[in-house]
Amino acid sequence: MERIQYKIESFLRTGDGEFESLALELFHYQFNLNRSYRAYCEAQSITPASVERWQDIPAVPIGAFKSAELATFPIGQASAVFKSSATTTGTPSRHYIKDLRYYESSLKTGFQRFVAGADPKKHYVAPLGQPPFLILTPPPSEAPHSSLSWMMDVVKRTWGGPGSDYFIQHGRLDEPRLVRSLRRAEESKQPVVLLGTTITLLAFFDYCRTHTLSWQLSASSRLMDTGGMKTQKREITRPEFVRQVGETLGIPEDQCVNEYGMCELSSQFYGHGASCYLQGPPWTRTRVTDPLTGRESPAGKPGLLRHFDLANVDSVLAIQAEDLGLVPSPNPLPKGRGQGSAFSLQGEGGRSPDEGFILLGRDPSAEVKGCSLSAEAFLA
Amino acid sequence: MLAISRSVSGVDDLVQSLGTVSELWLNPQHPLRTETVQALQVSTGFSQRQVEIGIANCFEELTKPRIIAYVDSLDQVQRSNLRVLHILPSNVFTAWVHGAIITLLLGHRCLLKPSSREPVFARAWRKSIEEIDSSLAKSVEVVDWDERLLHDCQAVVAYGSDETLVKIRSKLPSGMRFAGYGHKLSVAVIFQEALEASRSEELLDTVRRDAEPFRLRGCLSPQVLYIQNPQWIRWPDLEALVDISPKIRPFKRWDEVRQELSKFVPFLSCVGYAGSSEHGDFLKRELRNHGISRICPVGEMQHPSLSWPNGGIDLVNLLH
Repeated sequence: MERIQYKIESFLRTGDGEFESLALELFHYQFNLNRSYRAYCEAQSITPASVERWQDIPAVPIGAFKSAELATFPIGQASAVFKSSATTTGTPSRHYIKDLRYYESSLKTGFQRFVAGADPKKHYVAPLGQPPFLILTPPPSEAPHSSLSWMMDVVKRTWGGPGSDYFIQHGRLDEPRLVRSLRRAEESKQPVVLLGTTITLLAFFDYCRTHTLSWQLSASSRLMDTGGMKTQKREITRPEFVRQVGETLGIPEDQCVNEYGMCELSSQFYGHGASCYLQGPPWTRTRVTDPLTGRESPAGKPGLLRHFDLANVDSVLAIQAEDLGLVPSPNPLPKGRGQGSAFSLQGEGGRSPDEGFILLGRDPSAEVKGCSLSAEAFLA
Repeated sequence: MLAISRSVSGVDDLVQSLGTVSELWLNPQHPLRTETVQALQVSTGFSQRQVEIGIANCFEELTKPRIIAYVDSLDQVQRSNLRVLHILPSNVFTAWVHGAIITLLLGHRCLLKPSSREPVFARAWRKSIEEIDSSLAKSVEVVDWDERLLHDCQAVVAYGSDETLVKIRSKLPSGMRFAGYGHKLSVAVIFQEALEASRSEELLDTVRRDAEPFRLRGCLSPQVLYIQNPQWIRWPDLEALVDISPKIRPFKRWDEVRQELSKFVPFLSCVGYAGSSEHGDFLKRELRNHGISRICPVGEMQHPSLSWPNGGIDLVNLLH
């Protein structure tokens, strides 16, 4: 295993690696050491000997992280346990991580490539420099099991300049302090990077409208939002979100990045501008599957997203998410639905290794997976 | 002749085998059960306890004596040999087992197409049959989705949302026998006499037995509890015991409940009750025209017998 760990870590650091062979090797490793996962595979008569392609590696439903100990090691040895935020079931997902090096390498290489813009091979955005990071999440000290807060801490330590700080404390956004920081940035013409959940940023934009506040931040300022529209009751399109960013902060569309991640994955996917088209780093793959058959949906047809992430060394590399998406058809995409200005949809030789998907949002049937209807609809 | 008259050749053996299969599932030490419980925690997202309760609730109603009693209760029907395709639900992983047992009792072949979200239990159940009676196991086949199956069988039994059922039905040849089990919901009515302080623990325990399985998402899970005494203060104790608590709706007069239940028809599956047998009889009289397939004491809602006409569908009549 030392060998595969070394190879994966190298892949995560450099972006160079052989996905399929590593995926099959990692599946073998996880099958041997992760008892719950092995039981799940064997119940379907699937073993490493019967899997020849990465696409056929069994994916665990994301809900399994709420009920099973999906770890390749005794969970008492975990160096971190990332938990999902409270859900309607009251039981959070728990992702046990033995070695944070994989998560951290994956995050840094992915962030560098898609957000910080210092990737020597592909520049999706201009290099970042070291501006202040204004972070609209709680600090890790207040949310020790939040993968998002942990990620923010890593990127702040790696790229954030003087003045970087968290603006959610004791569970609430400190708007006056954030306003002061933005005012200073505007006056000094110093670029800043804002990072936070989509819903928190929208709430802040509402606050700004109420208080008649807006800024024209330096054009090289940047914004990264995460969480998207999947958890909020409020309906808003991506182009409308980006419009509000421009209206409130003066940050142009091409400096906006949308991050899609979850506590059950160690890697993240990124979209650019008003686009819903997301791409992950080269050690990830995403399939779009038909919910009825479990087979791959053809391009252009919506289905459930199934992610494969080699950075999930300590748990399970294949996750069946409850989000809907589609692989764009070869025809040009309609504006605002996957047409990112800096993203190429065509890779070398047809399907690119980092070919992405269009995120359509949460599967509306995900919460009602039983045979019951919700009484809510009738009692409203 | 019925079907399933036990005098018919092979039925006794079949009942014996199916009963023994249930014993396997009711044995917490059996390796297949242990492995399946672990795998189901992954496929369903339910805890070990929830999975085990689901298995127990299902197979306690499928023991040899229960199957014999069921077979003896049936009118005589001819056994035949159809291919019956069951399109299974997702994480209410046992919902289809009664239908599969009835299919086998009628002498048919049982094709099980598992949900892509829950690929474990159908295979495990077939494996348990293989272990007990390899000849019977030949009548059970776990299949992958293939639209041609809809034409190659003589009947389809499907579980899913109304939208899914409509989609499946639209693909069937005309005249094909079809049973569609759509999404439903259940409620319970707690009458005053069940709320006496001396009976509190018993009430909490019985409500928990119904509310805990399937994280309140089964069609027999009581999503709403109508309670006759709004001052009863023990509900937080229930909330502490289950992942998701039913909604509590106090009432003074029965008319208030009846009016609200009318909103649920025709989606109401089961009405549980806690209180006197007179109140049970009262409910049966009051609700007899509402198309409710099950009225039973609280604590037994998740324990339907083989004779339960789920969704008002008489499966034996459809498949014989």
